[in-house]
Amino acid sequence: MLPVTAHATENLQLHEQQIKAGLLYNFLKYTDWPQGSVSDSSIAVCIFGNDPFEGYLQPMAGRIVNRRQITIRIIHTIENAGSCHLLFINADEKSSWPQLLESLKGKSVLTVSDFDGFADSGGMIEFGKKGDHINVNLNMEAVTAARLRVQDRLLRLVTVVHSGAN
Amino acid sequence: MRHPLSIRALLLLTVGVLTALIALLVANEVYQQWERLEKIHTLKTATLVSDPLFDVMERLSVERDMAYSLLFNDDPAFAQTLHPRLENSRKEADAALTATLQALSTYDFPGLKEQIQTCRTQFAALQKTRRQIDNALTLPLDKRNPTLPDRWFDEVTAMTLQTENVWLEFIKHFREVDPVVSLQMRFKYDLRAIMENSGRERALIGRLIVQNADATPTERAKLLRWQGAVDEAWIAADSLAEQGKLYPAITLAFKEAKSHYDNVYGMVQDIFYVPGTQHGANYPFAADFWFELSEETTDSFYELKNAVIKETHGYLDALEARAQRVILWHAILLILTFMLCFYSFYVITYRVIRPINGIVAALLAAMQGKPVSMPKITNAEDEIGKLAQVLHAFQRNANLLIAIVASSDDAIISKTMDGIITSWNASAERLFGYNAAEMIGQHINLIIPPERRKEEQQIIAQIRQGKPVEHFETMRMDKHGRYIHIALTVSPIRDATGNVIGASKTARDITARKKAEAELIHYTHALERSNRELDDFAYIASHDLKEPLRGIHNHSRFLLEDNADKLDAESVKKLNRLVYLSQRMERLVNDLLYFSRLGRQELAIQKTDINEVIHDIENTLDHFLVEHKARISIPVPLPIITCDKPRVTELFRNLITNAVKYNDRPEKTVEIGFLSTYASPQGIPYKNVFYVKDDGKGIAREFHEEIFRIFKRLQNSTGIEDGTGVGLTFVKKIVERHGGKIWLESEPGRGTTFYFTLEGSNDDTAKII
Amino acid sequence: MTQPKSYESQPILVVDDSEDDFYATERALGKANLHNPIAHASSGESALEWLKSKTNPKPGLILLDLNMPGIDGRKTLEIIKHNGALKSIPVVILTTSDDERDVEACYALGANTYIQKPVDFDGLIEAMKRLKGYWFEIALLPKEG
Repeated sequence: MLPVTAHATENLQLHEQQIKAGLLYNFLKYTDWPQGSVSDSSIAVCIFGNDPFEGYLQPMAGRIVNRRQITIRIIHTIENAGSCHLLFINADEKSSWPQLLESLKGKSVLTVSDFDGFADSGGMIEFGKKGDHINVNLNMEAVTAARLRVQDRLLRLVTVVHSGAN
Repeated sequence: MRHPLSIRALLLLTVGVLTALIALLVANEVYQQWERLEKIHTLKTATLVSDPLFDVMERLSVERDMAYSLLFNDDPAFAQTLHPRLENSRKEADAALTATLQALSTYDFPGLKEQIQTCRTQFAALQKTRRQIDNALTLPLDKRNPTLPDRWFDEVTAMTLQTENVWLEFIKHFREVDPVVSLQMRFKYDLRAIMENSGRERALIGRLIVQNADATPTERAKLLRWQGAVDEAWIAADSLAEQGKLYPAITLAFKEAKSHYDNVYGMVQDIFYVPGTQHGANYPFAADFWFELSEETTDSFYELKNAVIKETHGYLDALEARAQRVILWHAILLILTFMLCFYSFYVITYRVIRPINGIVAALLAAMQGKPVSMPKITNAEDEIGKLAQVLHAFQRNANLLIAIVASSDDAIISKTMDGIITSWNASAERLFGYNAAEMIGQHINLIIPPERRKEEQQIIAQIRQGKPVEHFETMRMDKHGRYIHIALTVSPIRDATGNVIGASKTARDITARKKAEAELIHYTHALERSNRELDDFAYIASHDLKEPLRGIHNHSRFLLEDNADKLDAESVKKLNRLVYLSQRMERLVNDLLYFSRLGRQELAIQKTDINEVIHDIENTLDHFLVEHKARISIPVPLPIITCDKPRVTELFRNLITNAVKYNDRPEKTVEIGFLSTYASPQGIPYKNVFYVKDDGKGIAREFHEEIFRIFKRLQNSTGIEDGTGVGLTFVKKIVERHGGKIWLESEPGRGTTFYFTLEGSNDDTAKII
Repeated sequence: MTQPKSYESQPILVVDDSEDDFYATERALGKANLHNPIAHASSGESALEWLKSKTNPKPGLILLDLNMPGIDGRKTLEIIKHNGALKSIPVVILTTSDDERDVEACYALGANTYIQKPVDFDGLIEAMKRLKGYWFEIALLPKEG
């Protein structure tokens, strides 16, 4: 439990990270990876760059989702990115994103980030803000391209962008 | 005397009792398993009710939480998104409830009618409240009845509790049947508690978000309490899962449900659970987002619930299968037992008892002297078969013995040591005139003459010692009282241990033999008498005959001596002739006497060296041989034989003197020899042949037979009649008494060879040593 | 050796039922130069009568035939040899039989000699000569009286 502060904004900021971290679980639960790409015993959540969740992600390590155990990894190089199921790119690594995107082509990695324009630049799930509320954008095109499928439950939590209808 | 149970009856009884016992045990087990099976079926049926009941409780609580929140909402956009969800959850609750009620009515469970009725009543009331909520939602927030949300909340909570009661009622059954299942049910109850409390959390948080309000301390305390309850329930659930053998099947599902719950409520931990934070309108997401998020936990709970249900069903199925298996195996066992029982009956009756009875019958018949054959024993390899085989062989021997006894010419009788007759064969019937039926069981004294009854004691005494009585000649009595001469042979009959238990008598009718013996003795005596008389006669006759001859001879001589000067030559000649004739008569008489003795007297067989015999004869005839210029030649040494030495000496002497007498050569040779094999001119082979060969005048073929006749003689060389003519007759008689043959080969002018053997087929003959 | 005179006087009793045989024996004894008086008994009974008669001298020798009617030779021999007065008289069995049984029996009954009568007269003479030679020249006879 984090120390209580009077700064609502700061708190909100913290809460945001807490909530974002929590939402990653739901993404894991309601996304289907293609056959054979996910092992039966573990599912890997990777953070590219530093851990931005201030320790809120830590409790997730070891939890079970879809009968698999969650493992959390912090990675700094592009090469390791391909073995993750879910890759959260730290906003600070924004500059590495195109390279990263390139290297992830053809791989079934669910890419999540909270920097602005992530979804537009090929990212799959982008955390944003709509007023005070946390907003989640989902790039369906990118999702489909990576041969991933999202269930209705997840769709009810997100706003779909780039549905890929053109 | 009580009739003892036959072996057959005992065996059958034993088999029957054993079978009955096994059947009873098996039947009991089967009954118990059947009852258990019934209970398991009841449980399985119960789950058909309890599963929907669980759903009802869950769906109602979801509906409750959503409606509760909605009642505090005035945002139409929110209402728009949440309302369909509310409808949906109502539908689901209704469906679950309908299914439950249907199941409850199909499977008639006693003691629940009241509860079920209460359910229906509450359900009807629920419908009413739903309509009120719908109504309220159309009104603006301030127009709505402020008590409605809580009333609704409590109503639904009460209904879920009621449903819970019904559900608990079912669980009672499980406790009785199997502790494991009961624990599994308690787990589900625990899970229900988790879901209920987390539902309450969800509802309160939802309301706060909708109202954009901060939680009051009371509300926060509630949240914490509910959360605490959930935490405790998680721990209890883990323990129950352990004891209820739900692990490892539900391990992942359990962990996932907890992970999901922890994740969701952890997400909002700091916002709602930590005291002192003020957020007001700054909740990071909207109410619909919250509901979606929190409702998602029910997915994981449902997965867990399903996993548990699957486990329980599987467990019950396993129990059912086991009970069924047990029943099946016991049923098979029962059937096998009965089959074995019948098979034993069959074996006992047809493979043991019936063959034994058959053998007994056959042996009984055999004992009565009837030849019967052993019943066909089909399986000759088993013990009874071997017994039958052996007894069959035994009985064939017995038949043989029976036949022997029956066909024996001798009377065969067996009796006990007390003299009671136990068997009586056909020859006994013939000999004694009694038939078997008359004699068996009677005392042997019936055929023993009174004066001979002591014999029987003696015989029995000897038999008792195990010594047989052999060829005991005695007399017995037949049916008509006639006495019969018999020769008895009595043998002891022994039992298996060697004790003498009876006697077997063979009686042979020796009347004929006795008669023959008597006749033989009679004739022998007569013959002896006759011989003696003949001997005496011959002796006396010869003596009496010789006396006058002696007188004639002497007186003739005295006449000659006294009147020598007074008689003329002619008278002297006549007187001399008288003397000669009387001498001749005497010799004839002697020869007759000798010849008659030859025929009657026994031979004095002794070891005789023929060379010695010839040597003695040479000595005796020394003058005679010298006078006739004759010599005896023995080219090969003669054998030593057993024979009557004096007679054989006489034999050779006769042959030698004849050989010399009927020989007109200036120098005469008589050859005496011995041939071990000789073939006559006719080709007849002879063994051990003596011969006496001369170089004399020879004898014409037509006289070869005649010369052996008594008193027949041929002229000798000098023309003077000499000898009595009995010589060759003697020779032939002696040869014949020794059992041999004599013949000659001769032609006039070529000499004569007499061949003879001194052995024949009877014991009374010469034997070459 | 010549016979002691006393021996010449002792008579020889010839017991034989055959006249012819007696005559022959007598003659043979003569031919054998035995000049003792010769008495003749033609049966056993008459022989015993003669022997028992007081008028008759005790014979020095008895020649006894076996085959006689009435009391036969054997019986006579037996009687003689059991008679106290007569038993010392030597008895010579002179008979035709050469049967072992006769020989055995006679010796058993006490006969002093057993001679088979020779078949011819010459033989008889020879036998008497020998008889004389033995019984009257070598052997001592019991005294008369």
